[in-house]
Amino acid sequence: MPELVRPRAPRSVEALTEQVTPDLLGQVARSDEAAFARLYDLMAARVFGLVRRVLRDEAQSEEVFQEVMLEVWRKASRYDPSLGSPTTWIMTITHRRAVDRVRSAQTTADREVQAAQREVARPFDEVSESADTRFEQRQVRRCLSTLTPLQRESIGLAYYQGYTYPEVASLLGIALGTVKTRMRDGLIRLRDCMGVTA
Amino acid sequence: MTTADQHLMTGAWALNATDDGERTAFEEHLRECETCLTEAVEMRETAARLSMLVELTPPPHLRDRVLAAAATTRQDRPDSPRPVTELRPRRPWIRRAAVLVAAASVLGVVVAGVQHNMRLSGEVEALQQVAARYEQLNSLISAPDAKTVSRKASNGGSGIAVFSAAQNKVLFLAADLPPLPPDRSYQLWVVDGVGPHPADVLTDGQPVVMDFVEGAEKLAVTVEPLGGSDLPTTGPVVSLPYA
Repeated sequence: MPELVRPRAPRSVEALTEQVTPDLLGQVARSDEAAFARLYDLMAARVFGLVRRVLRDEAQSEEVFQEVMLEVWRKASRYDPSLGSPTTWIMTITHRRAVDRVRSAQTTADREVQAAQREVARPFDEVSESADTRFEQRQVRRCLSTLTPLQRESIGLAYYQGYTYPEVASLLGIALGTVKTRMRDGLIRLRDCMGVTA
Repeated sequence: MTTADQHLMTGAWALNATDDGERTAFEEHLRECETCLTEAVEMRETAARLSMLVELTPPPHLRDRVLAAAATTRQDRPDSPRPVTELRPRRPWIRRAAVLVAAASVLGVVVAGVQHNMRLSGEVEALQQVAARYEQLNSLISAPDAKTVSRKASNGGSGIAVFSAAQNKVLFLAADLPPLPPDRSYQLWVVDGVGPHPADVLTDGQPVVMDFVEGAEKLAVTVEPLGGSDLPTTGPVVSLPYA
């Protein structure tokens, strides 16, 4: 049934904003394969996009993507709503897996060389090439634009490229404590701007 | 680390920008600090939204593959004690990427030791390749007690493990195991008196690094559905005594 995976642009606003609900995840936890197919359709582009963004390599991305989706299937019963939405739970697994892979595959030195070759100070530039079709996407971008450059770079290098905060410190030539603070301040500002509550 | 320092870690933690040790320490801290937990949950929710800007539809054929693999993959039981984050491996003695620094140090010693008995040329080569890749990390800790065990796998290839109780580390590396169908993975197990405990799914050429488990009897590798199982579903292709 591959035709069920549609490009996202033409879909209606309602379909685009649909989220995985705790109920759906609960059905998945009870081995409901149709529910898992539904979850796949809702999350595949978001999971694959992040994996691909962090890893860049297509073959590795496909592999890690499949691992993530299966981990979601296997661990659905372990989801705890007090620790965030199902989407966040899935994206946290995704980021962890992608970053684990990129960190085990490359030495720090390799990564620093690569980073130097790609203008690291602009992790959001490539991101901005995609069209923001949904309200939430426009909101994320609008909120990002309220950050200081240092906050934005620190967050972008960690989230989109999988760097640890000591690596970010070394790439940006700033102190460890400063990076930690910028990451936290930046996320707090984003949180308030997007109205995220626990 | 002081509590004030810990509190500043929420951002780096939510962005997954810490090493394993710091993450563990921070999550311990979260157990005792309710306001920190609230902030941490909100930060992670916030970070997750950044993924909305990079969406990309995966190749369509992956859908059938993932759904088919799920249909044959047993799900984890819900009753296990739940850590603050779901994301740490369930067995606390299994660690991965961040311990590669330690792995590099063990490897240096091992490569020397293994070369000494020349029969393991394939494994030596594999180890040297891995060691070379992590050479830069090079915070070499000497492990005078490191023991190396190698066994041929029943399906070709072999497994090699390095044990250092002093460093509390075990490293496992498979060499030349035959490729599997796309819906299968090799999975490593630590076997003790109770039975097999899942370690990690093996990735080509990547060592698995674990804490040393007192009283373990064997390491074993089986073929499992993609992504691994809770319990082995097939017999081991290779099994090594725990040194």
